[in-house]
Amino acid sequence: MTYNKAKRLLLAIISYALLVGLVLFTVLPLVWVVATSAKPSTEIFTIPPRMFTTQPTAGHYQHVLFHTDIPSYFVNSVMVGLLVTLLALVFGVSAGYGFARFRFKGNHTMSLFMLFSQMLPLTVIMIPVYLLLVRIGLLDSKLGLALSHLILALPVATWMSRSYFMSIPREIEEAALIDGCSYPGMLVRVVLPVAAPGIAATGIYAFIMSYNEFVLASVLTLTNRSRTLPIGLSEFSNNFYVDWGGVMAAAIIVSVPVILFFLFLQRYFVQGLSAGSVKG
Amino acid sequence: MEKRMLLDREARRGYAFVAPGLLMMALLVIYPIFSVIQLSFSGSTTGADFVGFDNYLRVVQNPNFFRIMRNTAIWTVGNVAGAFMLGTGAALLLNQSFILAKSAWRTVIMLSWITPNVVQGIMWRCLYSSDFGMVNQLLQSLGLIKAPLPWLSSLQLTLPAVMLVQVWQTIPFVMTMMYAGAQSIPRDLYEVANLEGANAWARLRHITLPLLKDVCFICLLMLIIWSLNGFTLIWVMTQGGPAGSTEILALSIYEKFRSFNFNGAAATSVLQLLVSLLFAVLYIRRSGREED
Repeated sequence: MTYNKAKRLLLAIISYALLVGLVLFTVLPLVWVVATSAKPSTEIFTIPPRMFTTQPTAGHYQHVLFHTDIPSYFVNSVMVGLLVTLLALVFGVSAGYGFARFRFKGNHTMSLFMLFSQMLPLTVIMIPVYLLLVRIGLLDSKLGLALSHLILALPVATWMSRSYFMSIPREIEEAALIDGCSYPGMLVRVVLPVAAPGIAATGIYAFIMSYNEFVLASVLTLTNRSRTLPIGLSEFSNNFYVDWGGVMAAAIIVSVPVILFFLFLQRYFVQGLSAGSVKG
Repeated sequence: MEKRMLLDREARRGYAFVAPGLLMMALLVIYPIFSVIQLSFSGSTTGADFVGFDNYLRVVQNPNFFRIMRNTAIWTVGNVAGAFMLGTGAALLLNQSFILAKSAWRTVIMLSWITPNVVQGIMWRCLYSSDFGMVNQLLQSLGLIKAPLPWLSSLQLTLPAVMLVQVWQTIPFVMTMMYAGAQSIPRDLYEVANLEGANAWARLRHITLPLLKDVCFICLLMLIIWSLNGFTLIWVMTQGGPAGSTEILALSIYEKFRSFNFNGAAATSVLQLLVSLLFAVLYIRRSGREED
């Protein structure tokens, strides 16, 4: 008996130690980013390098916010993201509802097509989309980028809302219809309010996919007119490679919205994962 | 008659709801695929002059082609194996009944997955810096290496170094999926096994792992597709260098595109498309079966 207890204790200690190791592996690099962003420039390149400073500064953040193009990239990213969200929700929620509620020929095949289209490599789609946008004059525009981001966002929006609608019992719709509600009235007054949290999460997911996307944004945007944060940040880091503090402060400014959304909507993120959402 | 009418109305409504999104997607997916195939057999950006397999021959006969394919294979196999084993291990650790605050562990570990790709790349580029990077600093202070290593400027080290970052960022995905799968296994199964005197290893081998088979399959395919499609991390960290040692298929498309070799890029794209399609079809077939 005591042998068993000792064995169990040992197992617990080893398990916790391994988990702590994994947490350090995932989190230490991120902690380093935060620490570096608050380090005075003179301290960043010391040998041996040190993780934390004794004199934290907000100077790098000030520099990024007031003396670089990062804020204008941020505005572009948010505008593109909102447009993607809007379009993905209008088209995706409608399609998701159709797939979840109605029986019709090809339902299964068509919903799988949506899932499939999301697995196409973006580098493959990049060339035709680039040439197309050049032809119709939408290269280097927020609208053009947003439309191309629908390739990522629309399938996810469809699949997430489809699984959400499937979890809402049909009976509440039938009850509303029996009570004399018209069909569109039932959709607006019954279905949408019930599905609202799921739709909101879907929208945020779509926003983040667009906000993080790199490949398409790097070829479809050329100037500050449409350039989004990932591209801006990457260029910033190439041009100011020696200014680690500034780059890390910018990296944090870029990441904070995504991480906040994630913390609040973790449950839906995990759902989105199993709905087969492919991260660009 | 009445019943038939009803069915027709249901189908009509279904199509009406689905059509706009589906058309949009068809436009966004079928047009580019068609167009990229056309470009790959053409000598111009309009897709007009047909040149047969010339573009493909040029891609395949390029002396770098073998290296690119080899890099793609190493990158994919290594990433998938690493992330799958570590992620599954983490999920099984977390699934043990005596681990407290499970969702807190999961949330913290998920942070590396949720950070934007570009940020991950930039961050690790600095961490790997040979003079001021924390990786060398840490390894030296632990006594594992004597002199700083040139992580991102060595023909041998750079591919594994970037792969480690890809593994780092996908472990949480595998862990989350496998953990969710393990949590959905009914407790009674384990109780019965306990009564029959099965030890921890037997429970893992005969209950947990067999019941996680489907999740494993999904995880592996997603990891494969992500690795094959992976671009941002490598591009931000090394741009495919040094001397092409981290160039994979996706990067070679991008390189050709940047040098305005649209037709060569299109031919390479079709090759990548074929590889990705293979795994996408497997994934869809499995998902399709689950839905039925």
